[in-house]
Amino acid sequence: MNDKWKKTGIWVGALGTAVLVTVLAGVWYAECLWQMERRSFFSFSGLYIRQFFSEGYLLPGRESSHPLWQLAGNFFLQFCKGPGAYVTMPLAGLVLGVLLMVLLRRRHPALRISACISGAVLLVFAFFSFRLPSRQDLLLARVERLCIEERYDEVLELSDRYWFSHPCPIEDAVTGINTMYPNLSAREIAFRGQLASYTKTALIGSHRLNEKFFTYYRTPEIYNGLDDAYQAPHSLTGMLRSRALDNPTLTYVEGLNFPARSGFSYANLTLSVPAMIACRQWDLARKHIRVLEQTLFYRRTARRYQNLLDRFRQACAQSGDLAEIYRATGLMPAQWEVLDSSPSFYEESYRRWEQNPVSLAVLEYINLYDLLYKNLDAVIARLPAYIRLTGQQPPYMLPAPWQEMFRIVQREGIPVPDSVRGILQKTEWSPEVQNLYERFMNACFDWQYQKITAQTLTEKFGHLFAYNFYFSRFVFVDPRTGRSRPMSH
Amino acid sequence: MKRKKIYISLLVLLVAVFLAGLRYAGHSIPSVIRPACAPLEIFPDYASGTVIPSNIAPLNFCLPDTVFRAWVEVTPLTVKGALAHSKIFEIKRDMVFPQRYWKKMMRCFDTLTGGFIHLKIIARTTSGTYAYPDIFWHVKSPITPYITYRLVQPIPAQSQTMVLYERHLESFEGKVLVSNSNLENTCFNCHTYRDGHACDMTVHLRGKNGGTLVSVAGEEKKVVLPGSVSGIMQLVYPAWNPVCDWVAYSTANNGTMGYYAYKRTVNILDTACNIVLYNVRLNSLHIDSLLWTDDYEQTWPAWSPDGEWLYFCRTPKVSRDTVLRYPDWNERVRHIFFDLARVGFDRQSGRFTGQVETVLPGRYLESYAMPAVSPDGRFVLASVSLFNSIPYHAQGDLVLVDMKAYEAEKNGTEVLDSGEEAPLLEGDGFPGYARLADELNSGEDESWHQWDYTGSWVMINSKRMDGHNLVPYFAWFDGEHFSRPFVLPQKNPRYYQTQLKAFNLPMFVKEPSGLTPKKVSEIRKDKAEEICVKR
Repeated sequence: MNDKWKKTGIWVGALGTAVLVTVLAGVWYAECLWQMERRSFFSFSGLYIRQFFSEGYLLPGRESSHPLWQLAGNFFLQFCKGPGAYVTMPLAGLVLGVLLMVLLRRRHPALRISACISGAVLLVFAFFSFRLPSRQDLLLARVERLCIEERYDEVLELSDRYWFSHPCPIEDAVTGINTMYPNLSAREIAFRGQLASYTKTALIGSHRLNEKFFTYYRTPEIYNGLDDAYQAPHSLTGMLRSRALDNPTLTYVEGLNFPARSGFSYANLTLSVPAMIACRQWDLARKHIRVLEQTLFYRRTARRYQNLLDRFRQACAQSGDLAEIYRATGLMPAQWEVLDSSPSFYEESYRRWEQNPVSLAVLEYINLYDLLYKNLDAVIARLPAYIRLTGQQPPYMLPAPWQEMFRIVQREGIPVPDSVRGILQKTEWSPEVQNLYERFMNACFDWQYQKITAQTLTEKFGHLFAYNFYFSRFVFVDPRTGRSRPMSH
Repeated sequence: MKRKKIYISLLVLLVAVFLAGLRYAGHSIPSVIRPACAPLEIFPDYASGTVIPSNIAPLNFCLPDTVFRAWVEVTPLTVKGALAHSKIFEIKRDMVFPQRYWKKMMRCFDTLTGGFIHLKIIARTTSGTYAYPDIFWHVKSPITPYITYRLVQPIPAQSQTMVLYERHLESFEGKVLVSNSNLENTCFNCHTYRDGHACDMTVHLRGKNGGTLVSVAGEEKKVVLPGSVSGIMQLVYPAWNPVCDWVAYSTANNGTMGYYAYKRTVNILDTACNIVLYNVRLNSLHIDSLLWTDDYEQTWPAWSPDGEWLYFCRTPKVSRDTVLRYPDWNERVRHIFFDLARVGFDRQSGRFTGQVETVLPGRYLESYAMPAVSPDGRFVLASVSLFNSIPYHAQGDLVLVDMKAYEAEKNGTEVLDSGEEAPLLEGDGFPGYARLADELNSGEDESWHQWDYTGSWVMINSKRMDGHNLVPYFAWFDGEHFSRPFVLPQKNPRYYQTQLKAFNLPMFVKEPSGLTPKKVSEIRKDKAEEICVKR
């Protein structure tokens, strides 16, 4: 081989390397930019599902929806987070190092050019990756890394500092309308949302969501999500209850809302699948599994979930007892969860309870349905059985409807068995509080139709009542000890 | 040299023949084929008996994962026999019809009499090769060629891509009309057309610099409510009178309230709703005391095709007692039931005439919403759900109302014309002129329905595929009954297996729209015209 060929080979090799590095870096960075939530390279804000951020992907008939592109896109997406990023950065450095080493040993112009191009690309890349990181960006990046490493106490320490210095007005608890967000910039809202999601992850991970409630009760994003902060007290109650029971399975509503509110990432989607399986939303679970199957990182998780789904379906087909199904598959639904609120499931549960009246799980669901449909007589009639099963404990589900039901029972003079009277007395509101409660609801009604302002409402009743009204609901019964336990500091 | 070239050519030829042979040998139909008892489950569910329009895009489908290879024989048929030679497609699992072949085949069918597409499937599975029961698709008259819909996330979230998409039903072509990536990620909603004409449309843009985009004869403008009114009223759920310039809007002065209902996801509750009229030429909003009242919540306006009746849903305002009894919205909303009502309209004066007639009274666990009137004005398809006016969150089903029978019952005359049979049966607890459209209903929600402009097809949005995301389905209506609905075909047959977005507010459109995201973005930046409010 003569010198000419050798020279040409080196040039082609060098240029090829440079082009390869450029293309890889370009594609990689384009993918990074594609993700809207992403701030810098080291902000591993999750593998966001492309459908939600890319127009082209979701539109049928577009070339970008071709499976090959999906696969390629998902492959590159892996490099935006965690292990992918950890691997890619050293690899890029290694390529540059090798080139520089060769350059030093053999002073060939082609290698020099190639190394310069590669170095420049990496520098530009690094510059954009680290571009203008604000204090908020850095805080998020740090908190995220701590979350990935499961150092939850440190996350909470960092979060506390921010949330204590930025609390929500307490009036919002009364009015149900968050007055703070309209005055915040979109960037600030996004930041709060993300920080709240990490804080929530840390609270759940460290099993402290419950005990930290009064630390964060003026941070509605954590408990209720950014969108409907304070507008859905049941979800808050449910989430607290679910966490108090140390049950990792999300409820149906959490399973759907958590990925949506915390960012549509594959990681968040993995949380929703067990909830969908437990709630018998198998078609939706299968769809989510298929989405996960398309990724490299979550393919194994998807297989595991598919296995769980198959086992759960099989167990459901073989056994009618819900508790037995959960025992066989190891998948516990959230305790307070309504598995399926369709009347057919209600009827099915009722039939099963009639066949097997000692099944507490089934009885709970029936009671819940009766509450939802206001079949008070049926609930009252079933209460003795319930008390027998639970060992003289009142039902520990959805306290608000129970209190509401007892109020109606009292007001309308529905005859109550003696065994229930004790429970009624325990949950009875004092006449003063009852009076205040009704006046408050009247005022809320006036506020809703804009007859009074939220400020007047707050002034009229004061913070103390608002506090009591909203947070006295979160008294629940510990299923292990069987004692009611008010939530306090 | 010459001999070398010949050798190389021969070698290439041999390799080509060998490869072709390999392909043929690998994919030939096996000689031992056993008949299968049950039909093969195909996805989407285009089962035998599906009725399809003659201008629909190819019904691509895929076979179950247990299938390794399959052969699909397609034959266009009429009752007299085959219209063309059959063609065999050899596939792995995904049956994607070549578009040119599909169009050519569909052109064989007479647009009036239609015909059948016969599919014979032989599949090699893990347990052997089977010939599955034949599938027949019944081809009927064409459907209105375009639809537009919003692609949205089923659960509201902070940042999401939202587009108004126009889809050509005869192919897989489509385009984005409005995209919120050009609108600072804000929401837009409630698009409507005058009698299916794309050049006459309205859509509301939210957020900063928002307003209602009104396009009249292709000329777009942005209008906003004056400051004195915008605080107490938002214009939602528009319905454009097919024969004049009036657009009916429902108003909601408190926006939306979150509550938990069916499957306990976050839902919407509009409060303080009334119905107002907007004249697109005069740019004036007319408030008629008949439908602007403190006694009722009134929503979901829909016009009859002659523009002389306005159908809507209404319920008495929630009383103080109800609020006290059910202080929580989650509970209270279960005790709100809407009636289906209608009122006459004089398009010259722009006033409602006569009294409000209740067509179907709402009652416990029966609440009506989203009336849609057929092009001949005879039938009204409405949603009935357990409570509230948002059927797609509360197990909505569809109810078919025969207005001719209703008129006859109202006037105390005979229901039937000479020679006609009663199309509607009594039952289900409905009056004699209404029945549940069971052919369209499933265990999940059905809503956002619309009649096609020929009156032969209806489009419904259903959650039946996965229980969560709304997807459009089409069904044939023969004047009495609906056929089994089939899902909007997609180029990739596995599209619905992984798509997580919902198809919101699908509307039929007769021609393509000239709207583009860039144009909408520019209009949004323009100064808005203020609407003149008249009482």
